[in-house]
Amino acid sequence: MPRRCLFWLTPLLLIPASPVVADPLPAPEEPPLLQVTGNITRTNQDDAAHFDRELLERLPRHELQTSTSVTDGVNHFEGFLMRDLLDWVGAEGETAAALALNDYLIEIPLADFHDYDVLVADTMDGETLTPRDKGPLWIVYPRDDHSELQDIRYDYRWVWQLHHLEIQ
Amino acid sequence: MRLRRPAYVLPGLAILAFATFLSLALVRLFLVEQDMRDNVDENMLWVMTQAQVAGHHLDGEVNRRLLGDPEADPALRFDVLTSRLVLLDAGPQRRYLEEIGFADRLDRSLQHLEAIEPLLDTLEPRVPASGEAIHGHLEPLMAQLNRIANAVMVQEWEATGARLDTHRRNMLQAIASILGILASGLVLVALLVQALRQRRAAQRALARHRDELELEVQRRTRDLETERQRVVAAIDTAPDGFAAFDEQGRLVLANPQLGELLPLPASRLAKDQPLPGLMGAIREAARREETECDSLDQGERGALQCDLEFEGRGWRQLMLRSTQGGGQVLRVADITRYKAAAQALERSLQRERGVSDFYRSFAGMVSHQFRTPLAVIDSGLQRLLRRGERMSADERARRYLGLREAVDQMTRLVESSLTAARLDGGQVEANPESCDLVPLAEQACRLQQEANDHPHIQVSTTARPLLAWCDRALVEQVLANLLSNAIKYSPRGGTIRVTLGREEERLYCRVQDHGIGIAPDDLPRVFERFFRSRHAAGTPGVGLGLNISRHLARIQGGEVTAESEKGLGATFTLWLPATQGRHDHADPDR
Repeated sequence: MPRRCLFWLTPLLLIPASPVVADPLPAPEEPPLLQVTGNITRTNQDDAAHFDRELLERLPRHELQTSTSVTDGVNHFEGFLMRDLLDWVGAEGETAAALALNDYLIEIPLADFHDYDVLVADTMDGETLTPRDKGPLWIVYPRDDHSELQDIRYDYRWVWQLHHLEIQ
Repeated sequence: MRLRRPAYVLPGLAILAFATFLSLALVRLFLVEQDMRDNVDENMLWVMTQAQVAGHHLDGEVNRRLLGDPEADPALRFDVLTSRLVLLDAGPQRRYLEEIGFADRLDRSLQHLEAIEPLLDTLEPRVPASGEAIHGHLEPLMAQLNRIANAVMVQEWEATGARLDTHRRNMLQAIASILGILASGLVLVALLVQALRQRRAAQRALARHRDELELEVQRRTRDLETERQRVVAAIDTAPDGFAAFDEQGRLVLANPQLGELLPLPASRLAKDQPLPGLMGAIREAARREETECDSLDQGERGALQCDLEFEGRGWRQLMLRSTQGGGQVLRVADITRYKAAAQALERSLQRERGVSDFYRSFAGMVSHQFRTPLAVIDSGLQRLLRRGERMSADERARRYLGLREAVDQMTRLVESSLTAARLDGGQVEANPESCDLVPLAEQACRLQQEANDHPHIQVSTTARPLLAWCDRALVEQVLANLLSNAIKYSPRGGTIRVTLGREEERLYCRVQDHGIGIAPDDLPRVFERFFRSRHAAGTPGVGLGLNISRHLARIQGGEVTAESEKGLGATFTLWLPATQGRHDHADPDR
């Protein structure tokens, strides 16, 4: 992991966040932003794990600075790591099918989330992402830190308006 | 250098071309690679399509709501459409549309979108009028998006065509460069092959030259060996001894005759023996005093020629010469016969010269010395003839006695003259041997005592025997002369002292009288022939005795010396070489 990320991550890790992996998965109180289905061991509604904003904010917070293929300059993202979420739901499999509000469907190898600190961002440049832009959730790769990620074959995995993950 | 320049100019140019073409190809390929990374534009058509799809979805959801479907969610679809247009309005997408001149259409679409949002709240199921207002904005929005999509498609196809052109151009240049690389590589390979071929040819030529050279060397070596064997054969069959030395003075070659001619151990004539050592050995073996050259050492650096006698082997002539190559050649010839003949010739010549000298000397002495006694005899006889009748018998007897004395003197003169002449003519030869001087002197004294009736001769000796290396007869003659002289000049009855002794390597016999002595002026001249001192006028003598004595002493390696004080007598000493110390190997019994 690049030094620059460590610099950003360190202060956030000091925040007393609950060890989410050991916790049972509570039921969401608000309408969910994201639901995870498929090959997972923890669920909170039928065979799915539903997360509202409050639940998602229990995950350790991370930051990332990177440029994107659709915006100008370097943007500042905040959110949680995809692998923390997957650990929380006990996801096991090869790929995650990410579905967006606009019916954009992309299969992402789970290995990506272990090889890179792939962020699920809910804010960009300090502003909460909304469905009218690229919210509520946007899969953001640390593009500037790894030259191999500056590739159109990774660019299509930047799923925004994410609302459903299917672990296969 | 000028001839060699083309040899490296061509490879240098080929390498330069190779590097240039390689750089060009790399630059072109790098440009292509960079261009392939730049993929911003390629997403635009998809973004447009998705925006149109989102528009249709919104339209569909609005219609479902109008038909009374409770599941219909036009707000969500509106959000999605909004996100699409927001995306189009963001950085790269907005710039793209501005470049193709469609930014105003996007702005108009956004205006329609803004107008739709409040209308969504007024949407009532089964109230078509509420939907009409939304459609009134959605349709032109969709038319705008359609126009933009068309333009984007055209633009992307154009861009793709242009990019392909660029790629093709770059690839063609890269291919041309690679062809250049290939060509310059081929040139280099050709040059390498040519260089290898030239090197092989040069090696072959070198090998051929070497073979020829080896053959030539072999031929020359054979010739030299033949020549050398011829020389060796010539040297081996020559009567003389030969030895050759190299520039370091080491023996290279010696023929068998050398060993036969020189009484040296065979090891001295072995190969690599040094010349100085050989010359030293020759010097040791030669009879020193018989060697007819001043120094054998001088010959070691340059030319030398000398005759040497080796005991029991005769005479050898040594010739040492420097050769052109810096070495030296020694030649030893047997010259014994030649030497014997030369010596015999020399001796006979000496003898002939001696006879001649003898006659000349005798004649001179006779003509000078015989006149006076002859005149005395003649005048005495004339007086007797004229006045003999008148003389008394005593007077006549006295005169006859006088004449007889004159004749005696002449007789002595003749004998002395003959001896002197023989000495002058080299007719007298000493045959030295070892003999005891003491009995010799005693015998001589005894004879003189009897002959002259002079009993006062005292003989004393410091040692006995005193062996001298001398000729007994000649020594007797010298002693007789010295003793008779002493008696002659001594007063009647005066004592004569004879002393024998040794001084270092010499023996002496000293005869001392107490007569009138010799004046200091006369002393240096007493050994001159026919010298008579004024003070000896009354004593008979011819002035030859001392001269002959000294001659006789000298031819045996001795000497006669004189010393005197006037009025106190004279002392004459005969010196002779002692046997011991002169010839260690002489037999003392002889």
